Amino acid sequence: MARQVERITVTPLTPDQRRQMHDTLERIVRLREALLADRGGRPFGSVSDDLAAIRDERERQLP
Amino acid sequence: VTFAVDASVAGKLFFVEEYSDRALALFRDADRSGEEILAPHLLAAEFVNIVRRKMRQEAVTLVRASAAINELLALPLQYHAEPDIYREAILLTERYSLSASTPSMWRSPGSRDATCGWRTSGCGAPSAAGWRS
Repeated sequence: MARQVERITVTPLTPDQRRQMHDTLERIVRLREALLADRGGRPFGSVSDDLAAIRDERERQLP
Repeated sequence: VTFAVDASVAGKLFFVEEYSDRALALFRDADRSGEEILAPHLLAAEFVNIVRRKMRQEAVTLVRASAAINELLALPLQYHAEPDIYREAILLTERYSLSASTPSMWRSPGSRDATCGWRTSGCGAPSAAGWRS
């Protein structure tokens, strides 16, 4: 079956958004270092596996 | 260059694992180029579920979890809905007597890649889960 494809107009970030992107990414980098440090430097399990499990669980909850 | 990311890429951005450096590189690239990053509208809801799972299974604290969600929401992403999801939603909500306000249920068995695979084929590495135009 053919799927409808949404047409998306992409625009560059405004100067404020660019600053927001940059500042947020810097905070995220610090946060991920903190998250890693909380685990003694041991990497996390696969996020893709988490997402697959979440979707499986959601489908099981359907009546 | 324009990127579209799904929840797995967002998760890898925060939780260091195999492909985290590539996820960060995608966002750094957008930071340098000034292009918007596109995302399916379910990204935030799925990200919350990923974070909740990290809390339960990998001892992430509520403080860190809340910080991660705040930072995800602070990113200037351009959220888009898949038009088909609304057509599917009305059928599922009728079939299972669900409220249409429970978007996490807007998926039928067998459509697991509806958001993850938005124009892609899988939820693996950022190179597969994101696309460029």
